[in-house]
Amino acid sequence: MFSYLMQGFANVFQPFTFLLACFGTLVGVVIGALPGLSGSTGIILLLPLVYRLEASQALIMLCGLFCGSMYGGSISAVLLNTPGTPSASATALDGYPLCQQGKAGKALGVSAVSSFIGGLVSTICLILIAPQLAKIALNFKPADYFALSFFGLTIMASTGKDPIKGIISGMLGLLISTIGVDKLMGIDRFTFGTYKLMRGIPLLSVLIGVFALSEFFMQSATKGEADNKLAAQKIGRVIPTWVDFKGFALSAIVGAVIGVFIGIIPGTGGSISCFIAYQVAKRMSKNKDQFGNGALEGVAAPEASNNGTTGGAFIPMLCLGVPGDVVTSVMLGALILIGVKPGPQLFNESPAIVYAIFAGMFVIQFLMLAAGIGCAKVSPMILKISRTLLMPIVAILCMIGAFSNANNVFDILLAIVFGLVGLAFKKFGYPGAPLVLGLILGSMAEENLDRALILSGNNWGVFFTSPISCIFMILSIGSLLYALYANVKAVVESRKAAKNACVASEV
Amino acid sequence: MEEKDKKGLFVKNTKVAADFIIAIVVIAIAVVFLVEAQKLPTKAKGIGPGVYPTFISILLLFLGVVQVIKCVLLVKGIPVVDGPNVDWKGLARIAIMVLATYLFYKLLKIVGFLILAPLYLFFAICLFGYKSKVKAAIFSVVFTTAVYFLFTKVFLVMLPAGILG
Repeated sequence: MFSYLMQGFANVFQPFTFLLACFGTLVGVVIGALPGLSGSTGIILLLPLVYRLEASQALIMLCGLFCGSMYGGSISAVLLNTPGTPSASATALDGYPLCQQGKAGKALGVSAVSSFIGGLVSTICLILIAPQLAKIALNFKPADYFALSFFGLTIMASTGKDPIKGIISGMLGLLISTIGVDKLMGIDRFTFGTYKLMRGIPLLSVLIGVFALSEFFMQSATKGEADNKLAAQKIGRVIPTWVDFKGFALSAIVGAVIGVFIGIIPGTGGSISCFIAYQVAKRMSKNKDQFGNGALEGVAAPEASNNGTTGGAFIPMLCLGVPGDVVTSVMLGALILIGVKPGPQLFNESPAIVYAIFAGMFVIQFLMLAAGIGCAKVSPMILKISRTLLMPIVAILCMIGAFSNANNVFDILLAIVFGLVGLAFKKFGYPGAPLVLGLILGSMAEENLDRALILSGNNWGVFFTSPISCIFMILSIGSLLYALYANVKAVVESRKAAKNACVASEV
Repeated sequence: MEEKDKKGLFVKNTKVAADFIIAIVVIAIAVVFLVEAQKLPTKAKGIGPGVYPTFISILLLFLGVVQVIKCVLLVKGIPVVDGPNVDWKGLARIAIMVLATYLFYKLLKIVGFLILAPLYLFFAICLFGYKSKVKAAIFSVVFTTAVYFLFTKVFLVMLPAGILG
């Protein structure tokens, strides 16, 4: 392990790879800072470039973008009170009051240092936990893999605001994965006489449509620049003092640990961990009254936790092929597109790639700290980037991205179709990530279902006889039942509230 | 009940109606896949190509029905506020943008990237409300030309040349 890690570091410090890491981190910071663009959009926009790189170089650049975007989200949260990414939502609670008090630099500095702590803790956990989990996962049988795919999808789908909508989205993804020539018998499925669909629905078109073009279409509904009012034009001292550091260090470490563990759970992510970390930091703090009014701990805990989720989310993605959050589901798609198949075999077949990611994640945390401290002074300028120019550029890059997948214009049409699907999903509360995950996991689930049934002589009970698959199946069924329960509860409560409102208006 | 959502495009009652319509679409998709899956051959051991989509379609059908029941229960016996406030202007702008993007796809092979992309980019920038048309035009030409040469010469992605090819 140690020699592989050293090789990974040697790989990262090659001049071109290091340059890509810096580029990815900087782009991530800028994209994360801009409300409306997220880490997943950034990864999608860089995909045409990714094809031309070696797998480890591409992955290190994407890791930089992922981590950079996590920190970048805090810039607009502090300066505009509008989180650049959902993961920075809790940062605004104390970051913006600090900015109003003329301490924007201090808030951004605390955010950068805490993001560094969170990222470093999560990278260490990734390096320690992932190889061990992969060893366990190597013993998985086809039934276990099927159950794991099913679990990954249902857990991600059912953790959103409306679990039923999440599961519908995931099931649609699974159905889409069945379009094209069937791998089991080589028969056309659901192509409806269109030869262009025989190769299936390309993942890249779906990613571009659901995550990037949909946002472009959505934003085209409003004309002119976003009504952003910067609370601070000048940034003061950025690097925290030793006294400040001692005050928020514990909150940052606790936030980081929370972030790692929440990141490991599929379907969760920085948007959940940041609020949990914020609440825990508030309870632990001696200055509870300051929370909401500009407490440094209130910035440190959520920022450390959302960066803590980065390494955590990588653990199930690399070891099991099941992503931990939305960005890692896009990253999983990117990995597959560049020919890297995540899962326990990856640790045996391509250890150089795995350890390059580990080393890259480690180095990226330092780059992110440098970018965070360095960019803080110019962050008001980043937020002045014109939306009216940026979104059309995103659209053009999306078209090129879709086309470059197979030099096929038809893929652009598919991206537009999925852009409309993504737009409808956004508008009506259907999450897009389960759809993509369903498309990614669909064929893996089907192949393993087939293998499991062949090995067991068509015994459907095989999914409950192996302890691993039994646990995953029970958890999956549990999350489906929970989704139904949550829906019934929502209907009952909504009817109750509406009836009370009617009675009140009559009185 | 008449509470605007974040983007202000639809009101809450319209959302229930939209959820209902989407649930019907989901049911329709599930039925189409279910019927088509029955036409696929079966295997003696393991699953044939039709079993897996059948399983998913049935689950999707069930979830669609759950959504329909939920929508009906949400409005049944409760007075519905009239006059859903839909932002038609915003929807029209989205429709124009989608149409322009579709035309980009349709004409790309015929006209070529180098001519079509600056036109599309200029149109999109203007639709988004950029004030200076001259700057927008210059930017569109410079950006798309730079991107064209970057992708064709450096990344070796052969973007359609169209009438220039």
